[in-house]
Amino acid sequence: MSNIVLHKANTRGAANHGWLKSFHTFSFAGYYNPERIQFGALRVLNDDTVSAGMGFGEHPHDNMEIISIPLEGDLEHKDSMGNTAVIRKGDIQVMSAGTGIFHSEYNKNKGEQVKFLQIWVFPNKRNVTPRYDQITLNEADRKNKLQQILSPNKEDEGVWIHQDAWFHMGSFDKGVSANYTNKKPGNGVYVFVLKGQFRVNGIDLDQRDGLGLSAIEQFDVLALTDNAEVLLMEVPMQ
Amino acid sequence: MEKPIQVLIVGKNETIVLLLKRLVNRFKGLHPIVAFCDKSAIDSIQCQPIELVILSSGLLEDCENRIKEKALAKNQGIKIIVHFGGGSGLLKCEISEAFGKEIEWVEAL
Repeated sequence: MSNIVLHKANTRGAANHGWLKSFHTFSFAGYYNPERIQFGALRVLNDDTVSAGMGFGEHPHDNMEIISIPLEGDLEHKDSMGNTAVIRKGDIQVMSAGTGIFHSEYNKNKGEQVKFLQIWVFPNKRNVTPRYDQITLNEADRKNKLQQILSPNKEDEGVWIHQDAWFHMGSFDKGVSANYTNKKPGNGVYVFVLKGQFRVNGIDLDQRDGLGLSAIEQFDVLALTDNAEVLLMEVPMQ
Repeated sequence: MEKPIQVLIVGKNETIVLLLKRLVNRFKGLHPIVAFCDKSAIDSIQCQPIELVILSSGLLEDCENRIKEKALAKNQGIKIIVHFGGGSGLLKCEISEAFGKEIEWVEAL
Protein backbone atom coordinates (compact mmCIF):
# COMPACT_ATOMS: atom_id res chain seq x y z
CA MET A 1 0.00 0.00 0.00
CA SER A 2 1.42 3.38 -0.98
CA ASN A 3 2.07 6.11 1.52
CA ILE A 4 1.96 9.72 0.50
CA VAL A 5 2.81 12.85 2.48
CA LEU A 6 2.19 16.29 1.04
CA HIS A 7 4.00 19.30 2.48
CA LYS A 8 2.70 22.49 0.92
CA ALA A 9 5.32 25.23 0.73
CA ASN A 10 3.41 27.57 3.02
CA THR A 11 3.23 24.98 5.81
CA ARG A 12 7.00 24.81 6.27
CA GLY A 13 8.69 26.22 9.34
CA ALA A 14 10.04 29.72 8.77
CA ALA A 15 12.99 31.43 10.41
CA ASN A 16 14.10 35.00 9.84
CA HIS A 17 17.47 35.90 11.34
CA GLY A 18 17.80 39.09 9.30
CA TRP A 19 20.82 37.99 7.29
CA LEU A 20 19.33 34.50 6.85
CA LYS A 21 15.83 33.60 5.86
CA SER A 22 15.11 29.92 5.93
CA PHE A 23 12.17 27.62 5.32
CA HIS A 24 12.38 24.26 7.01
CA THR A 25 10.47 21.31 5.56
CA PHE A 26 11.37 19.28 8.66
CA SER A 27 11.97 20.25 12.30
CA PHE A 28 15.22 22.16 12.55
CA ALA A 29 16.86 24.48 15.09
CA GLY A 30 14.03 26.41 16.77
CA TYR A 31 11.30 24.95 14.54
CA TYR A 32 9.83 21.85 16.16
CA ASN A 33 6.87 20.02 14.73
CA PRO A 34 6.47 16.42 15.87
CA GLU A 35 4.56 15.70 12.65
CA ARG A 36 7.50 16.90 10.56
CA ILE A 37 10.63 15.17 11.74
CA GLN A 38 11.98 13.40 8.67
CA PHE A 39 11.16 11.43 5.56
CA GLY A 40 13.08 8.20 6.05
CA ALA A 41 16.78 9.04 6.04
CA LEU A 42 16.06 12.54 4.72
CA ARG A 43 16.26 14.64 7.88
CA VAL A 44 16.78 18.25 6.81
CA LEU A 45 15.54 20.19 3.82
CA ASN A 46 16.24 23.85 4.35
CA ASP A 47 15.51 26.46 1.73
CA ASP A 48 17.97 29.22 2.63
CA THR A 49 18.42 32.79 1.44
CA VAL A 50 21.55 34.58 2.69
CA SER A 51 21.93 38.35 2.40
CA ALA A 52 24.78 39.91 0.41
CA GLY A 53 28.17 39.42 2.06
CA MET A 54 26.72 37.51 5.00
CA GLY A 55 26.91 33.85 5.94
CA PHE A 56 27.40 31.05 8.40
CA GLY A 57 30.57 31.52 10.43
CA GLU A 58 32.76 28.56 11.28
CA HIS A 59 30.73 25.87 13.03
CA PRO A 60 30.97 22.10 13.47
CA HIS A 61 29.00 19.14 12.25
CA ASP A 62 29.24 15.44 12.88
CA ASN A 63 27.59 12.25 11.69
CA MET A 64 25.54 13.63 8.86
CA GLU A 65 25.72 13.64 5.09
CA ILE A 66 25.26 17.30 4.14
CA ILE A 67 24.42 18.29 0.61
CA SER A 68 24.21 21.88 -0.61
CA ILE A 69 22.62 22.82 -3.91
CA PRO A 70 22.97 26.50 -4.90
CA LEU A 71 19.97 27.94 -6.71
CA GLU A 72 21.14 31.52 -7.15
CA GLY A 73 24.34 33.45 -6.38
CA ASP A 74 27.77 32.30 -5.17
CA LEU A 75 28.51 30.56 -1.89
CA GLU A 76 32.06 30.52 -0.53
CA HIS A 77 33.03 27.42 1.43
CA LYS A 78 35.96 26.95 3.84
CA ASP A 79 36.53 23.95 6.07
CA SER A 80 38.84 22.36 8.61
CA MET A 81 40.26 20.01 5.98
CA GLY A 82 41.76 22.97 4.13
CA ASN A 83 39.18 23.21 1.38
CA THR A 84 38.32 26.66 0.05
CA ALA A 85 35.88 26.79 -2.82
CA VAL A 86 33.00 28.68 -4.35
CA ILE A 87 29.86 26.88 -5.41
CA ARG A 88 27.22 28.35 -7.67
CA LYS A 89 24.09 27.28 -9.56
CA GLY A 90 24.86 24.08 -11.42
CA ASP A 91 27.23 22.85 -8.72
CA ILE A 92 26.55 20.42 -5.90
CA GLN A 93 28.54 20.21 -2.69
CA VAL A 94 28.71 17.28 -0.29
CA MET A 95 30.22 16.82 3.15
CA SER A 96 30.37 13.62 5.14
CA ALA A 97 30.65 15.11 8.61
CA GLY A 98 31.54 11.80 10.30
CA THR A 99 33.72 12.27 13.39
CA GLY A 100 33.60 16.05 13.00
CA ILE A 101 34.15 18.81 10.50
CA PHE A 102 34.24 22.60 10.84
CA HIS A 103 33.17 24.84 8.03
CA SER A 104 31.88 28.24 7.05
CA GLU A 105 29.61 29.20 4.17
CA TYR A 106 29.44 32.82 3.07
CA ASN A 107 27.68 34.69 0.34
CA LYS A 108 30.65 35.71 -1.76
CA ASN A 109 28.85 38.60 -3.41
CA LYS A 110 28.48 41.94 -1.68
CA GLY A 111 25.62 43.03 -3.91
CA GLU A 112 23.25 40.11 -4.24
CA GLN A 113 21.67 37.41 -2.13
CA VAL A 114 22.46 33.73 -2.43
CA LYS A 115 19.81 31.01 -2.37
CA PHE A 116 20.59 27.40 -1.75
CA LEU A 117 19.15 24.16 -0.46
CA GLN A 118 20.76 22.61 2.57
CA ILE A 119 19.93 18.92 2.76
CA TRP A 120 20.92 16.50 5.52
CA VAL A 121 20.71 12.75 5.11
CA PHE A 122 21.38 10.34 7.97
CA PRO A 123 24.54 8.32 7.23
CA ASN A 124 24.39 4.53 7.08
CA LYS A 125 27.47 4.41 9.31
CA ARG A 126 28.48 6.61 12.24
CA ASN A 127 31.91 8.17 12.72
CA VAL A 128 33.24 7.90 9.19
CA THR A 129 36.30 9.93 8.18
CA PRO A 130 35.14 13.44 7.23
CA ARG A 131 35.25 14.30 3.57
CA TYR A 132 34.33 17.15 1.22
CA ASP A 133 33.55 17.18 -2.46
CA GLN A 134 31.92 19.38 -5.02
CA ILE A 135 31.27 18.98 -8.70
CA THR A 136 29.87 21.05 -11.53
CA LEU A 137 26.98 19.41 -13.30
CA ASN A 138 26.11 19.88 -16.94
CA GLU A 139 22.68 21.48 -16.64
CA ALA A 140 21.92 20.63 -20.27
CA ASP A 141 21.83 16.98 -19.23
CA ARG A 142 18.65 17.56 -17.25
CA LYS A 143 16.62 19.24 -19.99
CA ASN A 144 13.36 17.33 -20.25
CA LYS A 145 14.85 14.40 -18.36
CA LEU A 146 16.08 13.45 -14.94
CA GLN A 147 19.80 13.84 -14.26
CA GLN A 148 21.39 11.87 -11.44
CA ILE A 149 23.30 14.20 -9.15
CA LEU A 150 24.00 11.94 -6.15
CA SER A 151 24.32 8.25 -5.40
CA PRO A 152 25.98 5.88 -2.91
CA ASN A 153 28.65 4.93 -5.46
CA LYS A 154 31.93 6.75 -6.03
CA GLU A 155 32.05 5.66 -9.67
CA ASP A 156 28.49 6.68 -10.46
CA GLU A 157 27.21 10.02 -11.80
CA GLY A 158 27.14 12.98 -9.42
CA VAL A 159 28.54 13.15 -5.90
CA TRP A 160 28.35 10.20 -3.50
CA ILE A 161 27.36 9.83 0.14
CA HIS A 162 27.38 7.20 2.88
CA GLN A 163 23.78 6.19 2.34
CA ASP A 164 21.69 4.23 -0.17
CA ALA A 165 20.31 7.46 -1.58
CA TRP A 166 19.96 8.77 -5.10
CA PHE A 167 19.12 12.36 -6.05
CA HIS A 168 17.97 13.54 -9.47
CA MET A 169 17.18 16.95 -10.91
CA GLY A 170 15.17 17.78 -14.00
CA SER A 171 14.20 20.88 -15.94
CA PHE A 172 11.12 20.41 -18.06
CA ASP A 173 9.02 22.14 -20.67
CA LYS A 174 5.29 22.28 -20.09
CA GLY A 175 3.58 18.97 -20.85
CA VAL A 176 6.77 16.89 -20.74
CA SER A 177 6.94 14.03 -18.27
CA ALA A 178 9.56 11.60 -17.02
CA ASN A 179 9.26 8.29 -15.28
CA TYR A 180 11.21 7.53 -12.14
CA THR A 181 11.83 4.00 -10.90
CA ASN A 182 13.34 3.47 -7.48
CA LYS A 183 16.98 2.42 -7.53
CA LYS A 184 16.49 0.28 -4.47
CA PRO A 185 13.28 -1.56 -3.54
CA GLY A 186 11.74 -0.28 -0.34
CA ASN A 187 13.18 3.21 -0.65
CA GLY A 188 10.95 6.26 -0.69
CA VAL A 189 11.23 9.36 -2.84
CA TYR A 190 10.76 12.94 -1.70
CA VAL A 191 9.80 15.21 -4.59
CA PHE A 192 10.60 18.90 -4.14
CA VAL A 193 9.51 21.46 -6.72
CA LEU A 194 12.20 24.06 -7.30
CA LYS A 195 10.38 26.08 -9.91
CA GLY A 196 7.00 26.02 -11.65
CA GLN A 197 4.36 23.37 -11.20
CA PHE A 198 4.28 19.59 -11.55
CA ARG A 199 1.78 16.78 -11.32
CA VAL A 200 3.13 13.75 -9.49
CA ASN A 201 1.08 10.66 -8.77
CA GLY A 202 -2.07 12.64 -9.56
CA ILE A 203 -1.20 15.45 -7.14
CA ASP A 204 -0.55 18.99 -8.36
CA LEU A 205 2.47 20.63 -6.81
CA ASP A 206 3.45 24.27 -6.75
CA GLN A 207 6.87 25.84 -6.29
CA ARG A 208 8.61 24.58 -3.11
CA ASP A 209 5.89 22.03 -2.36
CA GLY A 210 7.18 18.66 -1.21
CA LEU A 211 5.67 15.23 -1.76
CA GLY A 212 6.93 12.09 -0.08
CA LEU A 213 6.14 8.80 -1.79
CA SER A 214 6.87 5.51 -0.10
CA ALA A 215 5.91 1.96 -1.05
CA ILE A 216 5.70 3.20 -4.64
CA GLU A 217 8.36 1.76 -6.89
CA GLN A 218 7.79 4.06 -9.86
CA PHE A 219 5.88 7.17 -10.81
CA ASP A 220 5.76 9.96 -13.39
CA VAL A 221 6.56 13.64 -12.95
CA LEU A 222 4.67 15.86 -15.38
CA ALA A 223 5.56 19.52 -15.84
CA LEU A 224 2.52 21.78 -15.81
CA THR A 225 4.49 24.93 -16.63
CA ASP A 226 7.47 25.85 -18.80
CA ASN A 227 10.98 25.79 -17.32
CA ALA A 228 9.72 23.77 -14.39
CA GLU A 229 12.48 22.34 -12.17
CA VAL A 230 12.27 19.46 -9.76
CA LEU A 231 14.51 17.64 -7.30
CA LEU A 232 13.88 13.98 -6.45
CA MET A 233 15.49 12.52 -3.34
CA GLU A 234 15.34 8.75 -3.01
CA VAL A 235 16.23 7.59 0.49
CA PRO A 236 15.86 4.50 2.69
CA MET A 237 12.70 4.60 4.77
CA GLN A 238 14.04 2.49 7.66
CA MET B 1 12.08 25.74 42.09
CA GLU B 2 12.39 22.38 40.33
CA LYS B 3 15.78 20.75 40.21
CA PRO B 4 17.32 20.90 36.74
CA ILE B 5 17.47 17.69 34.73
CA GLN B 6 21.04 16.38 34.62
CA VAL B 7 22.17 15.79 31.05
CA LEU B 8 25.35 13.86 30.28
CA ILE B 9 27.01 14.60 26.93
CA VAL B 10 29.61 12.06 25.83
CA GLY B 11 31.89 12.31 22.81
CA LYS B 12 35.47 12.23 21.62
CA ASN B 13 35.39 15.50 19.70
CA GLU B 14 36.02 17.97 22.51
CA THR B 15 35.00 21.06 20.56
CA ILE B 16 31.67 19.55 19.56
CA VAL B 17 30.99 18.23 23.06
CA LEU B 18 31.65 21.67 24.54
CA LEU B 19 29.42 23.28 21.94
CA LEU B 20 26.65 20.84 22.83
CA LYS B 21 27.21 21.72 26.49
CA ARG B 22 26.70 25.41 25.74
CA LEU B 23 23.58 24.60 23.76
CA VAL B 24 22.08 22.33 26.42
CA ASN B 25 22.69 25.11 28.94
CA ARG B 26 20.34 27.26 26.92
CA PHE B 27 17.38 24.92 27.38
CA LYS B 28 15.02 25.60 30.24
CA GLY B 29 15.51 23.17 33.12
CA LEU B 30 18.50 21.25 31.74
CA HIS B 31 21.95 21.08 33.27
CA PRO B 32 24.82 19.65 31.16
CA ILE B 33 27.73 17.51 32.32
CA VAL B 34 30.36 16.35 29.84
CA ALA B 35 32.58 13.31 29.40
CA PHE B 36 35.13 12.62 26.70
CA CYS B 37 35.40 8.83 27.09
CA ASP B 38 33.25 5.92 28.15
CA LYS B 39 35.04 5.45 31.49
CA SER B 40 34.43 9.02 32.56
CA ALA B 41 30.84 8.80 31.29
CA ILE B 42 30.17 5.67 33.32
CA ASP B 43 31.68 7.32 36.43
CA SER B 44 29.26 10.23 35.98
CA ILE B 45 26.33 7.86 35.50
CA GLN B 46 27.23 6.01 38.73
CA CYS B 47 27.68 9.17 40.80
CA GLN B 48 25.09 11.60 39.51
CA PRO B 49 21.34 11.50 38.92
CA ILE B 50 21.60 11.61 35.12
CA GLU B 51 18.25 11.61 33.33
CA LEU B 52 19.40 12.12 29.76
CA VAL B 53 22.51 10.88 27.95
CA ILE B 54 23.52 12.44 24.63
CA LEU B 55 25.95 10.29 22.65
CA SER B 56 27.99 12.58 20.43
CA SER B 57 30.58 11.59 17.85
CA GLY B 58 33.76 9.53 17.87
CA LEU B 59 32.76 6.77 20.27
CA LEU B 60 33.25 3.17 19.20
CA GLU B 61 30.06 1.15 19.01
CA ASP B 62 31.26 -0.99 21.94
CA CYS B 63 31.74 2.14 24.06
CA GLU B 64 28.30 3.45 23.14
CA ASN B 65 26.77 0.10 24.05
CA ARG B 66 28.63 -0.02 27.36
CA ILE B 67 27.42 3.47 28.26
CA LYS B 68 23.83 2.59 27.31
CA GLU B 69 23.99 -0.62 29.35
CA LYS B 70 25.35 1.10 32.48
CA ALA B 71 22.90 3.99 32.14
CA LEU B 72 19.89 1.70 31.87
CA ALA B 73 21.17 -0.48 34.72
CA LYS B 74 21.33 2.60 36.94
CA ASN B 75 18.05 4.12 35.81
CA GLN B 76 15.60 2.23 33.60
CA GLY B 77 13.81 5.46 32.78
CA ILE B 78 16.91 7.24 31.53
CA LYS B 79 16.63 8.79 28.07
CA ILE B 80 19.44 8.12 25.60
CA ILE B 81 19.92 10.15 22.45
CA VAL B 82 22.27 9.13 19.68
CA HIS B 83 23.00 12.63 18.45
CA PHE B 84 23.45 13.53 14.79
CA GLY B 85 24.60 16.77 13.26
CA GLY B 86 26.98 18.15 15.87
CA GLY B 87 25.21 21.37 16.73
CA SER B 88 21.94 23.19 17.16
CA GLY B 89 20.26 21.88 14.00
CA LEU B 90 18.71 18.73 15.43
CA LEU B 91 19.37 19.08 19.15
CA LYS B 92 16.11 20.70 20.19
CA CYS B 93 14.13 18.14 18.23
CA GLU B 94 16.14 15.22 19.61
CA ILE B 95 15.68 16.37 23.22
CA SER B 96 12.00 17.19 22.70
CA GLU B 97 11.42 13.76 21.16
CA ALA B 98 13.18 12.08 24.08
CA PHE B 99 10.97 13.82 26.63
CA GLY B 100 7.80 13.64 24.52
CA LYS B 101 7.22 17.39 24.70
CA GLU B 102 8.74 20.52 23.29
CA ILE B 103 11.71 21.71 25.34
CA GLU B 104 12.09 25.46 25.04
CA TRP B 105 15.24 27.50 24.72
CA VAL B 106 15.87 29.98 27.54
CA GLU B 107 16.41 32.46 24.74
CA ALA B 108 16.01 31.98 21.02
CA LEU B 109 19.19 31.10 19.15
